[in-house]
Amino acid sequence: MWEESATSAAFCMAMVEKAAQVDKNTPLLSVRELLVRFKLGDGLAAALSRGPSYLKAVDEVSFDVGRGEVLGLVGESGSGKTTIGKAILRLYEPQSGSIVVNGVDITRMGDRALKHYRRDLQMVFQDPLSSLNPRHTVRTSLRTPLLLHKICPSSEVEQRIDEALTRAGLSPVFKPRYPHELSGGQLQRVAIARALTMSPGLVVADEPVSKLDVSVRAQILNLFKDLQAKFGISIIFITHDLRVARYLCHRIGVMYFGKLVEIASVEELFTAPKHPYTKALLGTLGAEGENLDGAQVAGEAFNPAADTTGCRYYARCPMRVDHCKTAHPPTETIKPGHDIACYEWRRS
Amino acid sequence: MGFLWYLTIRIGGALATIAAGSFLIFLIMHLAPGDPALAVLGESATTETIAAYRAEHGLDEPVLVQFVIWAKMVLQGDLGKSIALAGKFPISDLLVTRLPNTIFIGLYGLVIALVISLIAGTAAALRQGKLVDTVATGVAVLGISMPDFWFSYVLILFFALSLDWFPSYGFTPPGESLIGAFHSGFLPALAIAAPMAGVFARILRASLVETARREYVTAARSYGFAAPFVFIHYVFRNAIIPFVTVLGLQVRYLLGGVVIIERVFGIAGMGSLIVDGAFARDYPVVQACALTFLAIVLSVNLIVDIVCALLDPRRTR
Repeated sequence: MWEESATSAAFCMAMVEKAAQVDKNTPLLSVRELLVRFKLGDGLAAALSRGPSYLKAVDEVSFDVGRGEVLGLVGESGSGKTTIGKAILRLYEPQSGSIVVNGVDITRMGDRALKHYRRDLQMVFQDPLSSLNPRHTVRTSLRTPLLLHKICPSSEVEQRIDEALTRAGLSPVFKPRYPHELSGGQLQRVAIARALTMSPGLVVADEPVSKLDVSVRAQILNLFKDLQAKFGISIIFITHDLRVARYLCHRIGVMYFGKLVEIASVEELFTAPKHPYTKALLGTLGAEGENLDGAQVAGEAFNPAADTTGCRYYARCPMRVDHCKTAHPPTETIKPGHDIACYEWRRS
Repeated sequence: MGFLWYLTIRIGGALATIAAGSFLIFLIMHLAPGDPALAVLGESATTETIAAYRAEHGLDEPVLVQFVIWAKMVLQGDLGKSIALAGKFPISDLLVTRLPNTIFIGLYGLVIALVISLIAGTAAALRQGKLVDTVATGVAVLGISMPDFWFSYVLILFFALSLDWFPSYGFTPPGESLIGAFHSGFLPALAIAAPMAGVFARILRASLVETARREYVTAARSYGFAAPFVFIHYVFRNAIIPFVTVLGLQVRYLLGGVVIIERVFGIAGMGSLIVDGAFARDYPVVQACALTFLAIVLSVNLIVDIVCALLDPRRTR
């Protein structure tokens, strides 16, 4: 481990150095065939029935995130985007598959060893008010993780908090304030500052603007863009808003009920989408720019609890044919950087 | 200034409530049917003796004048004398012997309820959906739904008559023997504690489960804090705020329960004093008891509010 000086210049240098340290070709994060399932029903009811049933929230999903890359994960609510984000931070235990950070497999790592990698992976949550402890001042919220991970000598903690707040666009005068005294936008900046204090390699941002006023959204999005550009932080940006994803991301992955159905660069995805679901989503982006909330995509949805064998999108798909019912299509690379899971993509 | 200002407003509010409450108590007593003179003098009363009794105790004045006289006395610290008890005891003497017993039983019950509910509520929340949760939640419902007098008799039957571990009747005042008070007060305290423990445990469980879903808890976990640390500093300390609020509200039910429990277990406390006083139309005694109850409830609520304000920065800032 390299030591960080708390001075601003050295701080930036360290972040740049860190990004350059490992071979450029290894992705920062590599997720392979990740499977996360939840038990449905628990306790007495499940014990009396024939056995627990499971919901595959994330079903064998694979993708990479490069250094300094912003990957968007889009999909309707319940498609497993947030679960992927939380599984990467090991907040959910994956059933199978692997999560490799900087070449180190952390999928089955024990708590003690994992702690070392946790500072590298930070999360920004959807509800800014709920993401900060109401009993803690801004200072306490930022200081506690710093002290836990012994990021810097305790004499430099205050300075580091000030720097992180400034980077997130907040004045250090907010330090003695409590969360309820701040606006949604200010709270989200505090949450971002909290992530920045750790100098993370990857930030998982889970719908970080969806609960903010429209007027504040653009500011926070620009903040993410700046942070990525200045410090080369990789970001997994989870959103249901395709326009937001288009603005911020380099690549976009489209999720449908636990499956990653298509992943491609922003230009490719918006100009030459191949998966019928991606096309349907883009089709909902009318003049008013509707987002993915609700059922704008026509047709009956997949029932995730019933473990059907066919393609998850079968029920809604306009291009379905008989063999789509046999198994969910495997992921194939149709050109470098463009993966798709559909039998019939050539027809589109 | 935040906290002191908050405190001033709350204490002012409590004093205003006591003033309004004491007037209401006074009014209700005098509007209630029944005549203390008849209650005391009985069938043999003549018009003359009744008039003399009324004049002696100032009952011939208009109600408002009586209230002013009474309020002045109370403000000077004099609660008056019983008008029904043969010895015409000063009420303050009665309170000195009765109040400690009631407070002892009440606090004893509260502590038992707190201990049970903290353990059961936390265990249920930590093992949500598991057997512990099902059992704890079920027992809590049982505790809430059992009538306290019935549960008292069950306790007496089992622990006093069958097992002979505790006395079935009577209470050793804490002033006489502290150990005796803890021993003889256990069954009544447990009877009072049962419904409270049920309510507290359910509130605590719900509050813990709800708080554990907050994103700041997920955030704390994502930093790699140890699970017990996250539970204590992020979940428990936030979940305890609604718990303390409900605790304060339950104190009036506690006092209501004490009245019945004191009867069942034959404890010379405030509850039996106010009931006997009401039957005898002993206005000053009932008024003094009601005023004491009011003062207790308000002070407890005040303490709870202060504790909540200290726990929760949102209340004062």
